[in-house]
Amino acid sequence: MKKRVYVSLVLALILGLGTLVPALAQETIKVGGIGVLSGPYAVYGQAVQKGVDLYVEQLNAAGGVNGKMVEVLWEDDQADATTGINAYNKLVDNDGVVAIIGPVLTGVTKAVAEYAADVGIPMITASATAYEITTDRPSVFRTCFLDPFQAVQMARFAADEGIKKVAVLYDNGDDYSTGLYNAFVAECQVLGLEVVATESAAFADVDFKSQLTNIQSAAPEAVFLPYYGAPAALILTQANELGFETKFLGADGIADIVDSISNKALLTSITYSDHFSTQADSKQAVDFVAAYKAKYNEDPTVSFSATGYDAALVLCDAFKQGSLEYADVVAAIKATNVEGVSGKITFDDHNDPIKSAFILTFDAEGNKVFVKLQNP
Amino acid sequence: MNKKAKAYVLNILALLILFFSLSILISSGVINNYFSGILVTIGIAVIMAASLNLTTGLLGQLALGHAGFMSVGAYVAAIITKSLSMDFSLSLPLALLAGGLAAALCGLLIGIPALRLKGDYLAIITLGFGEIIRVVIENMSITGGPGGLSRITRMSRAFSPEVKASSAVQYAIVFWIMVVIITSIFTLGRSRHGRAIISIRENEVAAEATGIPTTYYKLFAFTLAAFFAGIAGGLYAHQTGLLTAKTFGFSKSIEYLVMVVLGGMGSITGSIISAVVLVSLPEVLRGFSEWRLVIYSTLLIVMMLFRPKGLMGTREFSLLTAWDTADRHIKKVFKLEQRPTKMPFVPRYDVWENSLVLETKALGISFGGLKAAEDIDIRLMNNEIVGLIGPNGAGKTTVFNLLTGVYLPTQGDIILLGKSILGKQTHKITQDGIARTFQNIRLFKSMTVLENIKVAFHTRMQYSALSGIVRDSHYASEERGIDLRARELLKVFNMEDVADAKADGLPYGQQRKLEICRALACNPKVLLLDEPAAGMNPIETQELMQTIKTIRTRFSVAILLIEHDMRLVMGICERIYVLNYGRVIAQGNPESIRNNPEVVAAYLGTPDKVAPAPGGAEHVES
Amino acid sequence: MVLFLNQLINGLHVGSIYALIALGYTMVYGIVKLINFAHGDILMVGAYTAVVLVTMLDLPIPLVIVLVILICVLFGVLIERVAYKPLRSSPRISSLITAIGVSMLLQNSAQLIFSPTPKPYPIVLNVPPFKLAGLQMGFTTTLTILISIFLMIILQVFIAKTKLGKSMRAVSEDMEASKLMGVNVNNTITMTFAIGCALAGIGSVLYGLAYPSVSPSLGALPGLKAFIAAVLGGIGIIPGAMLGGFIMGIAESMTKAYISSQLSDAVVYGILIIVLLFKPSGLLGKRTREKV
Repeated sequence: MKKRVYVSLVLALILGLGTLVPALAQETIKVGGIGVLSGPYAVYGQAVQKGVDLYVEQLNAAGGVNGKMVEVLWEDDQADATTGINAYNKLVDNDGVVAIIGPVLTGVTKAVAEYAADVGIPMITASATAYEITTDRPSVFRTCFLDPFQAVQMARFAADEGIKKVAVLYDNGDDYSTGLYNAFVAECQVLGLEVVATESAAFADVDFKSQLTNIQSAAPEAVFLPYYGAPAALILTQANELGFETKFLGADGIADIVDSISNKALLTSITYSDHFSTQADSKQAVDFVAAYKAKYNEDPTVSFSATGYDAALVLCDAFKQGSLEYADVVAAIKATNVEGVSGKITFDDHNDPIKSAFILTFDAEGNKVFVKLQNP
Repeated sequence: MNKKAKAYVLNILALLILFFSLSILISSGVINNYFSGILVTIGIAVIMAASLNLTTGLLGQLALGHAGFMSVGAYVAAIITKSLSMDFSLSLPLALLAGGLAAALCGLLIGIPALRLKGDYLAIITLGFGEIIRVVIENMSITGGPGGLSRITRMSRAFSPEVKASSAVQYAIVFWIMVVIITSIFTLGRSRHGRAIISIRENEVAAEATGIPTTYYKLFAFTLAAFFAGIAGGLYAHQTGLLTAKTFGFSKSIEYLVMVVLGGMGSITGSIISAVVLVSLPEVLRGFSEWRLVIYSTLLIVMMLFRPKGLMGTREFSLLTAWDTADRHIKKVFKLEQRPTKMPFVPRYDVWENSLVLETKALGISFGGLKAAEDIDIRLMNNEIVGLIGPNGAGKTTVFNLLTGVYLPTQGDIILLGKSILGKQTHKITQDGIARTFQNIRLFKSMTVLENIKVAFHTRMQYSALSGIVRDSHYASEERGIDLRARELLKVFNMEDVADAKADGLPYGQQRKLEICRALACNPKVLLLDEPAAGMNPIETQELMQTIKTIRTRFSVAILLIEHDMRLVMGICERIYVLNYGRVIAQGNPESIRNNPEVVAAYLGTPDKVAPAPGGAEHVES
Repeated sequence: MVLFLNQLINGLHVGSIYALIALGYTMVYGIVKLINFAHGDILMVGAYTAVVLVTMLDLPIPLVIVLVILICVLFGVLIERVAYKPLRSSPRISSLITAIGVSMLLQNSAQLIFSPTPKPYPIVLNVPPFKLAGLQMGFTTTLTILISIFLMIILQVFIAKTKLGKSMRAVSEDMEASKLMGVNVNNTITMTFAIGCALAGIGSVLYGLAYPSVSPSLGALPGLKAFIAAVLGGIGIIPGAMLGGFIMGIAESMTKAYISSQLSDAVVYGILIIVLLFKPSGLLGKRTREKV
């Protein structure tokens, strides 16, 4: 028994000493990627990963950054804050990365951003939409729009469609959903839309019929669903079961609903905001879709692949000014003014991009249909 | 120095070397944030596993909501450091303590209703409470709602602008808190309070009958475990800097349960080893994270099927057991002031030679419509040996259960030494002077013979749990005292040479003797023996008869015994009560009972039918 | 009033599924005194079986349903033989931990094999709701309630009248005595598991029709709630499981509809705690004492 303690002690020492080996001289620029690569939300992390990797591959093929190749080292945060922090520590301390792309989910991003902001290492998230992530964190940026922004856009869209009465069904155990709900309702007040019913469900609930029955009896013209695709699919199915016919509105989480529903005809009733559409007609977008398809043999259906691509673009552009010091890269990012795949990217005082929102819906086969581009 | 003291010193040195070497490596930056973070996570996991082991291993109750206590401690501690404007090195200990106390309070509030249940139901209700805690936290705004609490001061940043130095302080804090907690749990387990807790795990009914206030100790263990979990939670909060209620759900409770089960329920060392392995392995095997849980669950099943005791069973590593013997030697070496050996208090019963010690008046109980016992009038005089016989189902054990408070009578009264004990709890009745043995032997199986006896001395000892944890002179003197007394007692029964054997390893006859010995250690005035000769051969029965007579005179107890072996009953009982269908149908001396026609018809059979075999026992089939 | 009745129907819908699952729990507990933690996960097994059979093998729906039931039964029997039978005489804590292990194993294996991303349930009933006495009745809803009630009645009759049913009742009362009476205890126990899992298999289809999203943790929460339902009604008592299931479903729906959805989880666990504290034998149960 004593032996085991000593052996583990020796092992620990060896592990520790292993870090004495100095990092190799920088012939490659190492960038750390953190994302949810396993678990129920893996589809989002994998999309970011694919977008980033595509850009880096194209960049390296074109000569890299001032002759140096860029290498992205990915770590899986498993949607857990502690794992994400460990991943961050490993990348920065062990692997010597000069910047971080990610994380993907809001919760993990909040935790890691705190650490990144501490040391001032440049960090760009392609998908975390909660407002407070970049608050008081000068080195943290994002290439996706924010929840408050997209909720506001959906409210305006409803008003533009002539809708006067709305209802909301949201997840009170989810930060993302609650944030969207608050912003939506606030904008409805501004626009003069009447919120006739508000219902909430607990996180991981699958049965929404009680809430839908209540909403149905208030007869709204549209229902706002700030949900991810899988629960949204359940809501649409149950609304159908109840004979509740109405328009549904959603935010970027809806995008993957098509994978979660068998009865695709129901999808025509929902319209949502997203960071990208494969039907976008800008040159950058068209080229991106083609290159993505060529490399991965599928369409970039999850919009975060586009914002991930843009994150890598913004970061590497910042590297091109020459210095890899944290402060210099951060300053360069702040001064960004590029046409990204998901739209034009410049940053405001809060390190958020000033962008447009894509409004999309579905056809009866579940294909995404571009409706309009809503500008701020 | 002899070998044992050497082992002790060596092991303490190992602990210090472990601490200082890692500490230096951290503050010099050789061990970077990544690894020091893992070390801290290991420390927290060790505390959680050890505290859960207190409930699940030592107390033996499966608790599935342990992460709930961790979350209470985490949130309270975080809210405190966020709201207080004092220096972090002052607010942190305050916050940790407050977190621990808040968790302990929750443990108490949950334990009071929950611990009335047993086994499966207890597990499920703790699961329910754990989930309720999570739901409540998620819906309060002070805890940040679903978004959680963020920007919590982190120990790895707060103590110094230099991250390396601050990380070293963080490591030191976690390491020493962990050492203190583990040592406390260990020493508590070896004290009289620990014995009381373990006896509940081994056999709750017997523990209560041996005078242990089981409800109190269940709550004590549960609340203490919650306290430690709360501290672990506070440390966690100030390590990650971010809290979300979802982190502390059912799966986190299961993670720690797996550590306890795999390490061995009841072994603190086992919990330490499995915590270290199960935290570091996923980091080393990052590529196989999807397989991790599959492997854990398979391990769990395989363990239960083939090695339910886990890695270490209930054994402990020599580092910690050496403390025991080393303690003694240190005192000798340094000639520390020893308190004189304190013998356990022996209650004196004010009883005249021929007075009444126990009396029941029209005692009875009905279960629904069934009258299990009715109108029982029994009198027991000082130092008498009285028999209670009757066919199976007559209600004999029911009477014992009534006398010891296991059942609440629906009619009548019980007077012990002049005072009514009606409605009193079993352990109080034991303390008042009635001790018993059971039809199916109820020993504390995994404890040694000596420890079984020591449990009975519990109520007559005084040192507090704190004394037991720090092992002060009160602890030492009282433990020495009962050790002597216990060995003396075993000598009476010729069992002093098996004192350190495990109770379940004894042959059947010795197990019975041990049970009687344990009952006597409670220092009763009345001893209830339930079929003490069951399963014994004629020679053993003869021995038993002698033993009982010796006990009566030497220990000055009145004995009431249930038996089916008529040779024994007729041989040593001065009076006999006969029960049938819950009523006393006859009483008197052996001769009159033998010839009582009603008794013969109901139970004994006619003398002609029962021809005694040459030299054999007269055993009545019932 | 109409709204209230509609919510009641919602509650009955959810409740019937809970009742079907609760039956499995209660029968198993009655006979081997084991809380089969993994029972809820059989629901998940059934759901994924349907996914595989329809999307990969393209089999016709009626055949799929039959196969789903068979596979659930197979899993149940396998688990019983491998993990629970060897521990029948072990302390209860061991069986409980093993059951937790089996549940975790099922969930995490599914995660490994099928990936944790939710998949759509492949069987769809696209029949529009109809009107009954002025109320809007969903088709799936009505079907679920009717099938559940029908199955429960059949089960009651089966337990009361058939030889196997009698053996099940006997073994529940006293395993040793049943053995002495010539009852094949092992087979009876296996059959109990089989029936419970068959019900869970049917439940998985009804569940999938109502909540068409299949993920590895699908069975965890309904399983727990169904267990609470079984305890509420009186664990070991079959009518108790039905009663408990419906009460749980209605309580949950009503809380969501009229009080707060945040609280519905708390209400569910609260019910469990109140029952365990005040009448652990459940609404229809009898008190049992530990023999001293």
